[in-house]
Amino acid sequence: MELLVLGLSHKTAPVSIREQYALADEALVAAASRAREVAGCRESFVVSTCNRVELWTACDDAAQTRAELILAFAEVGRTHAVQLTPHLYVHHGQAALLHLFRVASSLDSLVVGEPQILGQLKAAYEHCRIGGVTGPSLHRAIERAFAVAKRVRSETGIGKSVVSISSVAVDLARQIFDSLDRCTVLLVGAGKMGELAARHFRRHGAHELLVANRSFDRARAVAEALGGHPRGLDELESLLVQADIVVTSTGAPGYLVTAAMVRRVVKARKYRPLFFIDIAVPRNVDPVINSLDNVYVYDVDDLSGIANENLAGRHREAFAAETLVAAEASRYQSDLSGHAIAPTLAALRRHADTVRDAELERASKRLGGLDEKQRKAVEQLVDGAMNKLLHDVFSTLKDAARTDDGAELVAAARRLFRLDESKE
Amino acid sequence: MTHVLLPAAVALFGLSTAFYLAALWSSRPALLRIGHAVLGLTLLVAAGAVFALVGDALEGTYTQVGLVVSALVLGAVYLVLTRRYPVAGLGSFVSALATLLVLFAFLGGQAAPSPTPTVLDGLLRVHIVLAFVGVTAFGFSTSVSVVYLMQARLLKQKSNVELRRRLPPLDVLDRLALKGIVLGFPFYTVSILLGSAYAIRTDHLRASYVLAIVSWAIYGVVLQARLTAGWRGQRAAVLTTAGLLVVLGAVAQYSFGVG
Repeated sequence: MELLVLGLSHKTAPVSIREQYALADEALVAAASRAREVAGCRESFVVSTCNRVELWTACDDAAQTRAELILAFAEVGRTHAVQLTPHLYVHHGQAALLHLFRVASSLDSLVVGEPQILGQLKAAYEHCRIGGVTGPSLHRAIERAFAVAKRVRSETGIGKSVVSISSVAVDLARQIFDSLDRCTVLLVGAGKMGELAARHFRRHGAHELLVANRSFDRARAVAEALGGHPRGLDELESLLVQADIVVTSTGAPGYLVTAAMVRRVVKARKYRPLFFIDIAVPRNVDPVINSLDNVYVYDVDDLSGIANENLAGRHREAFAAETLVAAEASRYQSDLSGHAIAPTLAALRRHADTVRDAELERASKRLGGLDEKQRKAVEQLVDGAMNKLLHDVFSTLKDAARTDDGAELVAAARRLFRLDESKE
Repeated sequence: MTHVLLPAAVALFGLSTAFYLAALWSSRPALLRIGHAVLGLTLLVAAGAVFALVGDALEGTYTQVGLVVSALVLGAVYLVLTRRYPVAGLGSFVSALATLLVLFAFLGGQAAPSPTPTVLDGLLRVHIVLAFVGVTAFGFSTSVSVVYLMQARLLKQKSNVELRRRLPPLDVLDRLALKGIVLGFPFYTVSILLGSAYAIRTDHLRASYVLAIVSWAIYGVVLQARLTAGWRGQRAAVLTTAGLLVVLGAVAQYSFGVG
């Protein structure tokens, strides 16, 4: 059984093509079932995310089923194979396995190291498994892919650093405050970016959210959406005394938060740390404030600088992850080959034992009157000769199983020793 | 045994410091685990050194015992805290301070074996024990404060993201530093009172006593400012560190018998 994958990803296809394959859970099973209708395709499953759609199959002969599968895949996306082919990638055998391990380990993702792909892959596979379209070959491969992805995450730093502006802000806050669940977040301005950052803090357990905006109605709307409390912008200074984390994103042309104001605030808050995240352009917080004791100011450039640094770190870690994944893919292939050759070796051993027993029987009749000691000596002689002969055959077959022409040599051995005939 | 166990404890504390420093600068978690293991072993050796020192029952071993016990407690407290707080990054600072204390014990023992009076009365013994409880607590606070200053500086400069992530959050550091001072101050205060009484009784005023009183005043100011005026962060950390430098000056003066 050979693995074959065909798919479209953010690297090969524009969103106009990919969006045709936005498949819901039930559609995944239907698409995988359509692939199973192709002759020689024994198992299948389909995964569909914003950045990729892939049809995974286990088939008797990848070269023979490939063309038919492309047609089936085009049909799933209600498009023509001719239009699809320039954007399509197809891998089989070892290359397909390596691709699966890379995808699961997030090495092929748009943002390298993002954790969502593993969950998406697991969910898609589970749907198809329940739908009854998968099978043992795909199951073994996908289970190993999950294990490899886990190893990559634990043994490399690929997923350790965050790469979005909001996540960087939360990460920074955690280096100042022990736990966000004791922190009050103040959102100044009710723009989209600020709302997103505030939502992120909320999701990470921020204790309380205050929303201050020039328009109180807008503040109330955002506060309601995020489970916070609306406040007027005229209360800003007293709000700064209450808050621990301040996200500013207003369209004000000058500094809303000045150094003089923060000096007063710091005293009033008894020097508790204060963290400003200024994502407004032009900036709302005077950068001089960063030089005050126990006050930290990060603007949008600082945040994106950290995000880029983290991303570069992920790419460095990806290099180590690629080596790990390649080694795992080749080990898996080797395990599979060993698995495949085992029945032939067992059959060969059985055949040899049958021949030996028959020859020993005939010899003992011919020689007659052998005592126990003599009989044992003859048996040892025959066993020794046979084991020496078989040892070379077994070693050659095991070594060949790991190479491309392994299957051919195994077939030749079965034919030479008439293993299939003796089985019958 | 003392002549073997004390230098061994110095070397092992130094080795654990090296591993913790490497763990701070590298992204390999194995280094931190090795640091913990070496520190664990060091604590056993240091405990052995304490027993050997007590067994030797020589005049002047009290200061040495106090120093080694302080180092031992510092290391043990750190290992316990790593299980509860994200303070793994403190390791190099705590073990560096412990190395210094055990080194004082080792060198002090060799250079001036008996700077103390021939007959140690109960007053002096209690004074020394309480002083070292205070020193241990202040030592811990200072290690934490140094890390605080480092983390705060990195956050201000917006640099070295990786190192910053390996250091504990400012909030945790500030809390632990305060706890150390709150714990150590009463012991140190009683120790200073007993030390003063002893000095008056024996009419034997040493420079180390004066230094000890200066350090007590510094910690008193830190504690007062933290609890009433709400001082925290960098100012408190700097003053805590200055306090320990004076304490170490007093310990060094006492151990080496200079002045």
